Amino acid sequence: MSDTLQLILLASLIGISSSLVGVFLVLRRLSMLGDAISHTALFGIVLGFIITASTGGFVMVVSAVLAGLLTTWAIEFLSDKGKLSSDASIGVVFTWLFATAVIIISANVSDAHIDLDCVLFGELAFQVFERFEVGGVDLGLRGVWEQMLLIFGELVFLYVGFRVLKISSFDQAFGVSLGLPSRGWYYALMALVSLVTVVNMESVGAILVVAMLAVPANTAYLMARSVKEMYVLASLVSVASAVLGILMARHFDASPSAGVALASGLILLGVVLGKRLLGGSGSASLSLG
Amino acid sequence: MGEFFEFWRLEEAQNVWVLLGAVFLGATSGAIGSFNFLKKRSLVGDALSHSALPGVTTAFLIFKSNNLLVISLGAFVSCYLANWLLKNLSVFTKIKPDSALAIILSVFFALGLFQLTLIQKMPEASQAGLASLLFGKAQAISHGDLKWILGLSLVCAVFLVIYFRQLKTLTFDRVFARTSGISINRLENIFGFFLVLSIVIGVQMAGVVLMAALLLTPAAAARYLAKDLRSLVLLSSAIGGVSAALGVSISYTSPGMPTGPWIVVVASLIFLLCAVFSPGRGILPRYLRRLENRRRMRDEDIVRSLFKLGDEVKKDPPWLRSKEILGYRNFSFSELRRSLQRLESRGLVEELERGGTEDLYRLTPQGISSAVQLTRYHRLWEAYLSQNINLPSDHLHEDAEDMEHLIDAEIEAQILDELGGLLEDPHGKPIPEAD
Repeated sequence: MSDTLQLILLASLIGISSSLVGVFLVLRRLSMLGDAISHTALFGIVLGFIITASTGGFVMVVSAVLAGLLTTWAIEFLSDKGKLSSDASIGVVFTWLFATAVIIISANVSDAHIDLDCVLFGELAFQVFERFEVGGVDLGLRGVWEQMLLIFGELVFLYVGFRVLKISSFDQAFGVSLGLPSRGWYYALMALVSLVTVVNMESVGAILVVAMLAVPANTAYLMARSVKEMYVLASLVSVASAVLGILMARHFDASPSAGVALASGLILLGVVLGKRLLGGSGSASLSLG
Repeated sequence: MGEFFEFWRLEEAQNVWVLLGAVFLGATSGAIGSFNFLKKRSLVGDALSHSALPGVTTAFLIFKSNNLLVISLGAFVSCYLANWLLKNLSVFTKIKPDSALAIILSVFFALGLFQLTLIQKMPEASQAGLASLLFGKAQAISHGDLKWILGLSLVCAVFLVIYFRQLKTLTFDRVFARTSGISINRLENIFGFFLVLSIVIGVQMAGVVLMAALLLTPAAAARYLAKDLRSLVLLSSAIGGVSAALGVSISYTSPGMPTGPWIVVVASLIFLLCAVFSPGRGILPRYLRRLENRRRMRDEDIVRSLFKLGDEVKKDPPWLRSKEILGYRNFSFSELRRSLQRLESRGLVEELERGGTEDLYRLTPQGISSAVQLTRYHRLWEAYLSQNINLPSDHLHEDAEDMEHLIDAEIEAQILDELGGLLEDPHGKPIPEAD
């Protein structure tokens, strides 16, 4: 497979794994919580490094997930007990933890392999060199295998929790009245968002993780008639963004991850304009079902 | 520590520029940000700070220059466009406002990064200054930059003073603002102009994340202390300035320390102090007040239990064991013990054998009058509910259980007035007269 095709495959899978959690972030109006978690994952990674003195994959993933849960809890605490509006809580918490992480990096871990540029922008292009080998046999890109595992985990999570997540996304009070454990699932969803963020951050960077979480899911939201349809459309839009974005990046010789995020924005713009030009035909509304 | 004080001697001119620049930037963002905060647009600063990047890179690609004015113009155009899109995306499509923020933030930033990677491959070495947009260059604020910041602060201050009343009306009551003849669109455009202007200048000095925090955290902290809009704006501005001064001097203590993040951390710590300890709205004082209230209600419940378990009319309360009270109320044993100790020390309850093994308690005469008062409130409220709300008699007790703790002399007088001389509660029990 050529490098370009491999990049497209990897970027598509990253898009799909992000969109799978992105759909519920969009429906529950938590897109900016996704933004916050993608920043505070850095805080977790830095703390994990200080405590265990390693940047191994497992330590990074666990510490980033814990940081994501801490972020979610702190935001909830400030808005519940501190009577702060939830958007202000999000902003205060993530800038604080992010700034702390940057300070710790500049003070202690300048010799560590935490590269701020890499965290922010990702190095999608380098992922082509990361092979997955078993006993000397090259089985393809390591990133592709990671993404497949991640997507499989997400699908299991969604299969088990879909009903709870769907009902509490549209009507939290109704979910509670049915006795659904929506709070537990909320935290589980946020842990999953952290997991997806930290796995994808290595490739596409913190801010572009936000694009992958929010943009395809919103594009799908404009067109879908049901939650399941929204999933399918978001995945398709992710793949389309990956194809268009990687080709753009190759053509201009620019950052592939920025290219994919930019392409997803262009596709959203196209859908918005298309719907306006075509008029009322696109008035499909998302309902339970 | 030595370097910290050395900084404050301000012997180097550079330190003075950095300090003044950071303080004015912090104070201005604090003031502008407090309106954003009240309008519940706290994260707009975050989104717009990210949106400055493509403007800067586009201006650089077109004009091949990193002149501060050229770059600022580019940033201004893209921030303004982003601000317009933020307002309209959720109006013209069904995309929700929070999604609009995430979309604008990430797509604009992606465009900027896309162009940045192109610029980095260009032969010119004149790209200095573009990368500073991400983390800022607060420690390198020059005399020339300072002029920009001072100019911005002055213009923003004048704007806020002149338009204060109109902004206040707009922030708290849009409908009233419209009816009182304020041109909402014009005012919002002017405010948007100043918001974007401060972000354009601030982002170049302080970086994207810091700018988002400078516009939000001081205002969020000030909200715990402020009584009205004027004090909120002034406090927020002061907190922004103080955080900037402390952040700059802390980062001076070691060469590798980044200035911007320290300013954010100091502002966040000030926020934490305000959020936890502010006497009026702080989390801790509110928690303590609630604890105190719950204790008082528990004490009152015990007083009434001791009273009701005896003969009400003779006002001769019996000696009761704590187990009997527990059977009547839903407390834990230790809660009951602590309540009884408090009541003893207040002289409302006496123990048969102080500190002994008998475990027998009864009300003192003072306790009896307190219990009569509570019973009176309880039954008055039941009577009131039954007469005015028409609740069936088996629904009254629960509500009165809560209300008996809240009624005071003023409410009592009002209820008596409405009841018009009723002497019985809906269950046929007499409403006792207080002593």
